Amino acid sequence: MALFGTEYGKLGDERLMELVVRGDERAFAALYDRYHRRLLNYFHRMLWNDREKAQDFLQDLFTKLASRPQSYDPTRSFQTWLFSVANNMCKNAYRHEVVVREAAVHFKNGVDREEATHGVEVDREHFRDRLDEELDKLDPDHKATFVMRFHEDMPIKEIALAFGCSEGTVKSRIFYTLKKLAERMKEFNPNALIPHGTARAIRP
Amino acid sequence: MERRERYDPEDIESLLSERSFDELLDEERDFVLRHLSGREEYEQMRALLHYVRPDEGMRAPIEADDRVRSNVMAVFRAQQRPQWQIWLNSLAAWLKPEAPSGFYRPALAFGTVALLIVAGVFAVRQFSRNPENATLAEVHDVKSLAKEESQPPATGDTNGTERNERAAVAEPQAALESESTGAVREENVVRTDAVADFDLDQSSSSSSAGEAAKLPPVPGAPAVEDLAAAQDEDMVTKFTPATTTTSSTAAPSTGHVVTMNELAKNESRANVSDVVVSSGSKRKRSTTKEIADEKAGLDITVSRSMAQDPALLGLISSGW
Repeated sequence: MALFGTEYGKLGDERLMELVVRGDERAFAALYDRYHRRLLNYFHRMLWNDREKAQDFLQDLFTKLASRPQSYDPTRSFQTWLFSVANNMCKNAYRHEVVVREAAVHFKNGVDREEATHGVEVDREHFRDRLDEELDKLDPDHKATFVMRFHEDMPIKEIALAFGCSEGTVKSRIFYTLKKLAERMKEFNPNALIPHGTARAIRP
Repeated sequence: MERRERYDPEDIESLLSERSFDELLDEERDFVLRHLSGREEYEQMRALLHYVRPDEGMRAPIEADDRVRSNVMAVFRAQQRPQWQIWLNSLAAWLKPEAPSGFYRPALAFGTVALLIVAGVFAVRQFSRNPENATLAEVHDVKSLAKEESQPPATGDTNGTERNERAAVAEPQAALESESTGAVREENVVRTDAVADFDLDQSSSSSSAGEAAKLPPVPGAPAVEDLAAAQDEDMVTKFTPATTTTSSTAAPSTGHVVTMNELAKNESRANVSDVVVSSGSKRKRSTTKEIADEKAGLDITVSRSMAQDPALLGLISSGW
């Protein structure tokens, strides 16, 4: 089958990876265009909202993919595999920088908490900052699970495959992460955040 | 009987997403309260969950710089490039380093190669000058000359010796000239053989032996001087029948002088036997070497040096 123009966009991830293994440059470009934004935001979330670091990690990830496309297991979902690689990269980054970040977060947390207690209304921007700070304090696996689930909107099953654990483990992580975050962010009035009766369906 | 649990703790996420605490069924509320402290905690978690999702929608996704894409694609292209191009690129980078200080590597490498070549040439030349090798080469030459000397010598008759030498000198030259037309020459030899037994005068004029047979026999002594004076092979060939005739009638000596008839017979036999022909050709070639050595002024055989002795030649002439 001849591949022209937009046909690359219609191909599945796994098929594109087969072409990448054969040296197809356009297939590689299609995969980059398909996933680079999601991965960049994932890295941005995971790496303390550091945009430059997120771009470096994005480049490193696709460089690994270009250098060793054979390392991809065709039996697995490409997205799952890609995010598992990204998660491992973030874990390594945490091991190196967690000490420094913790010190910075502690300093900033004190200031923000003081501002929050003085604030009468809770705005969303303030909430986002607080949420990011609390996420940075979490265990990397719990944080990554939370980001994948609520930021990347990935199904439980794919998260489980990305981490190499059971779906129950993923659900349990999400539950305890939510519980911990809710406990730490008590200062925010839930009634101000969510109007009643706006339930939203979530992916299983 | 123990009540079977319908929900897992992790399923609270779905309840948080779909229902408030007041909207929960009794069964669901009991399940939630087994894992959470109460309504407040449930509502906080629910608010957080609902706030996180729209918050992500409000966040503008960041975009990667174009340089990231170009870098990644460059890496992919470099990875797919044939290995020999990479090798050539590295070779070019090695031969033409950007920094001048990097030139020491190729310079050192080429210098080492040049040194090895010079050392190799020197070693080969030294080996070729080895005395043992030179001795071996000389021994080989001496053996070949000894073989030549072991051929039928002409010791009894000095004139015959001289004539044989001259004939031997002339013969290879003629042979070399006629090698290219070997078939013609063999035909002539056969004819010579047939004629030489009966009438030399009637032999073919096309062959050298036939031309020699046409000449009248030269009576008397000046054969040696004439032979000595004869410089070209034609002259030698002309005198050959006379010498053979004379030699055939001369007294037998310790050596054996090849007569024209014998020569013709031998050649005719050589036509029959390949072995003789090959040996004859070898002799002719080695005789050619003798000629070359003689021209170079080398005194390689005793008989030749005697023939070139004027006193001895004079004595022989007076004897005639």
